[in-house]
Amino acid sequence: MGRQAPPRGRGSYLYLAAGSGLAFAFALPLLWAVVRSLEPSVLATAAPQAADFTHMTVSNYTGLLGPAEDIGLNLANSVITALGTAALTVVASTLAGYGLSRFRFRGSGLAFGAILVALMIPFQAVLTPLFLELHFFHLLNSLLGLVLVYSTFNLPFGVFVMRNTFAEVPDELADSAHVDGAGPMATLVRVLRPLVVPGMATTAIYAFLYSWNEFLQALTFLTSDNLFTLPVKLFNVEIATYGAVNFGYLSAGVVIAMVPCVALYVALQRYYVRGLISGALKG
Amino acid sequence: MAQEVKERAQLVPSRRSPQQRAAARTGAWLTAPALVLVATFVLFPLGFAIYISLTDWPLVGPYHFVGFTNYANAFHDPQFVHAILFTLTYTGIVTGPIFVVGYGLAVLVRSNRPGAKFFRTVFFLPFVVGLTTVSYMFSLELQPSSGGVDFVLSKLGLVSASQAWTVNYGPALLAISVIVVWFASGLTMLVLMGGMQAVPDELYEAADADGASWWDKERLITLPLIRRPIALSLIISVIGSFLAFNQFFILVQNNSSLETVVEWVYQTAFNQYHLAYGTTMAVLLMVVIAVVSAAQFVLLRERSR
Amino acid sequence: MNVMTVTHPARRRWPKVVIAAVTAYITAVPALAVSAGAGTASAATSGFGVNATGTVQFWNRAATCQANLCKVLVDEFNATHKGLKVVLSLTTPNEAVAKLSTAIRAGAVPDVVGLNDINVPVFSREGALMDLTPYVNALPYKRYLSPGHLALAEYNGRYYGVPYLADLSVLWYNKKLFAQAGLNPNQPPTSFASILADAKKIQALGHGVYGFSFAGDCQGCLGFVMQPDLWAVGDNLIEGPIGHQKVNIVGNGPLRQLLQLYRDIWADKLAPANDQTDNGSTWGADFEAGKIGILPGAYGFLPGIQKAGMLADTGIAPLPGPNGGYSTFDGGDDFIIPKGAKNPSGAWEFITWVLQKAQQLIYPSHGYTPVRTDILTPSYYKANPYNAVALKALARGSAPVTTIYNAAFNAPGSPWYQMFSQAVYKGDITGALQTGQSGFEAVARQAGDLAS
Repeated sequence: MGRQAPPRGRGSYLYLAAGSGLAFAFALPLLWAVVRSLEPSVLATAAPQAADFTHMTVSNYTGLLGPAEDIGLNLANSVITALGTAALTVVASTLAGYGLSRFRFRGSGLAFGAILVALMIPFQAVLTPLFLELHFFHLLNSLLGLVLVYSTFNLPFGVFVMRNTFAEVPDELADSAHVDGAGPMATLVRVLRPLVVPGMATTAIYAFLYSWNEFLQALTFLTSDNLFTLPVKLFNVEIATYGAVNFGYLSAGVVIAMVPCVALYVALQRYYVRGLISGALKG
Repeated sequence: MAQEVKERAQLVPSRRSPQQRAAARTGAWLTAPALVLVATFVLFPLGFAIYISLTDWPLVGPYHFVGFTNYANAFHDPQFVHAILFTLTYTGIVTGPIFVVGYGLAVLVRSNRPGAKFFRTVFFLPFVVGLTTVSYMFSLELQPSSGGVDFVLSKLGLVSASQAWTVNYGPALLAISVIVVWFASGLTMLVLMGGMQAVPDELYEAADADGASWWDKERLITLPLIRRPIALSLIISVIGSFLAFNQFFILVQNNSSLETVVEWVYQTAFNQYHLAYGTTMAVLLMVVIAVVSAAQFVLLRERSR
Repeated sequence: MNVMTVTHPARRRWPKVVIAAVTAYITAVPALAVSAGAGTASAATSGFGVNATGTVQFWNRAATCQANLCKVLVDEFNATHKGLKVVLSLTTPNEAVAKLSTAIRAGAVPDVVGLNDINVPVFSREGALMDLTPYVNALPYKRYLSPGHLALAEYNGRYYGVPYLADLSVLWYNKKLFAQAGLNPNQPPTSFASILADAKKIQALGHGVYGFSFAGDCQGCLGFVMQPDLWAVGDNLIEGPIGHQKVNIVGNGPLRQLLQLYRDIWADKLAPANDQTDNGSTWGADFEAGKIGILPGAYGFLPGIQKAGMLADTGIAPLPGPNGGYSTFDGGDDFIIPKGAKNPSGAWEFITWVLQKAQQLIYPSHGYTPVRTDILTPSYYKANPYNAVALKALARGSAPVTTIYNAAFNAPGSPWYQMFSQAVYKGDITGALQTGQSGFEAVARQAGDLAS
């Protein structure tokens, strides 16, 4: 369809070498964290030595996950909230991006601006108003409330991405569907979807990660521990009084929390294929 | 081209064909869900916050309406002014590198070559971990003598083994800037890559036939056609830098020359219990951000061909 | 021709929608604001705290639930009290005050909160807490309750809270290093001069050993371990009742001596250079590695010291004054019941249960100190030799009763830290005292706390 045959030969090896070097440099701090997670916490505060490798232990993992019962529950809460946020964000962003870019109406610029405002707000300023509002709607201490708030704050990015994505779609495609008698929604689902899926993937990834990592909001709006998300739970275990941090636990927490996020990212990679647009035109 | 036709059509006054009205309605309904969410959870609290900024609302206790007193105080607040200047400096420092590094990574990973997918994951990992967790990780690794950063850099002969990174202005700003570029370039990469993949291959093939160099192709084909993703990544990055909080809060304890606006907002609202004053400064910050973003939009606007 | 372009919107529908939205908005904002802070009537007093039923929402700081103490207490209570269920919720560091105050605004308060004791005056001053005076006075062990914790819960002669747990500061020292340096391992330093002298002797041992250590970039930690040295001689930095307070920094003799002590330690390199950048996240780690002679720190370091296998070599002593005497920082939490709580009777039943001797006795194994001095019996001394030292100091313990504690001490770049930094790292003690005096006064003035 539009896939180039991968180049072979010297250029390919050069590419892999350069890429690997850069990848190593990028991953180095995280690899370091993985090593730290396998060391007893006490070693974290002394200068690193080769001898540290002989003290490998999984005690950080057992310590973090062990006494903190209900880890499974917290993980489920995290996943539900993150997936819910991603889904709601993608749906609302796709519809709005579609509407704003292909159906010009008076005030669409203003609407886009209003949506973007959400991006510019420091959370501290709206903490109290949001809390009061959620309380009014009985959405405090509920995952649904979190999903709604998180989704709303992801809309600027999502709508921006989807608006861009729809703007890239060649008019010929949408027009030919219209000529065939398809309504806007049918056009969207049948004809445009394959082209806008990369944008949806980007939006989904961003929304999922936002929900997963923005646990400070969860802290304020949730008062029931069995609704806590995983990062909140881990955070409470890692930080003690006067800011003393258990770095062994923290590093283990990094590794644990990374797993679902990376899994989702890798799963969505198949939607990022070069040449989708030109392929669609040819096909 | 289609673009010009579109714009000409828009200039024709009062063409109210039923299809056009239906199309406008469709557009409004499609945008409605997002707008309802935004109106409920963003615009309403924002208005409420502005209301709070016109009072002396403390963290606990009764409040009274005070008009624009908080705003007047903010303009005479040296710490607020300093925080704005510092935040602007910081934004100026990191925006370019985040974009350039992100662009470079996108060029590297946009193809379907073997290895590209793996590299995409690795370069995105810092973003996956999240800035708060990254900041905590580095609060350990930036320790003098015992942290990983000094260990690696001193072995490379770049700094002394006991270089402190979180106390003085220069080293702290450098360290945090590097960390943020490392963290955020993955997102820029993802956004730009998506845009780059939408550029039809025929254009590159035609340029190859004309004997164009790599940089020519990049400059004349890619860059103009990914204007929108560029705008997106720059605007997001700049707004994020203006709102910087977590990394400074976690990494720098006691150097007020490194205080960002949101940090000062947090201080006044939650340590001095003057929620109204903190909210006032937050509102002023939002105005600045809105103006800067609007300017970016205008400058990076899609030009008609 | 692209038919999807339009020249105008469905113009007629907008104005009505807009007007409706704006109207709803204009009425909603003040309505919500007015409802914020409205409380309900307080509970009846008969049978209060006895055989209560229902649920009790209990908020505890995650930071003071080390080794799951709060969970253990809640689970045990629920198991032994049918008909009354305590639901625990942990709040993270930095968010506890914001969360409670926002909940109070919304009228969505929990029934009982384990609030950081230094924050209680902020709430009691605004009348946000339930008046517990008759119930506290009715406690048979009232006179044994930690005086410092109780003072923080008192406002205008009424009690708005009661002590919950104590997180005290003490002087840890390495007995093995003492012995190696020719010092008596059973004779910890009891004055500033002996701290300096002992530290010098231990420093002379070399091999990466230091005489002293402190978290030099952690203003909260420093306030925690340094102020008791002043309270040992009855000296305070902030004096007077809330709303009319005076700052006692310039001209404060014991404070000058204290800053001089830390300056001497720093200038003579008796503490690791890393201390200057230690923001508290690795506090105590060097002591656990056996490299430090004297460490003013938290009693809560005990589990960590034990885990590092250092307990046998570790001694504990109260924090001394310039020439003797001792005190401790009454850190930890007080129980408070917010006004408008739904089940204050259940909350009080839980509170009084936690204050019973049986429950207080499990504190030490979790790293905390009981809040009742009548627990200190000879058998307790035998069973908990380390905690007994801390508990003994509790009777002489203190904590500043003020609404400006956070802003003056704990906030980043606080006047307390600026004073410490100028005195210890720059050696300008006189200047530091001026900085401290004016900084504290500015904070107090802004909070409406300064006596004019």
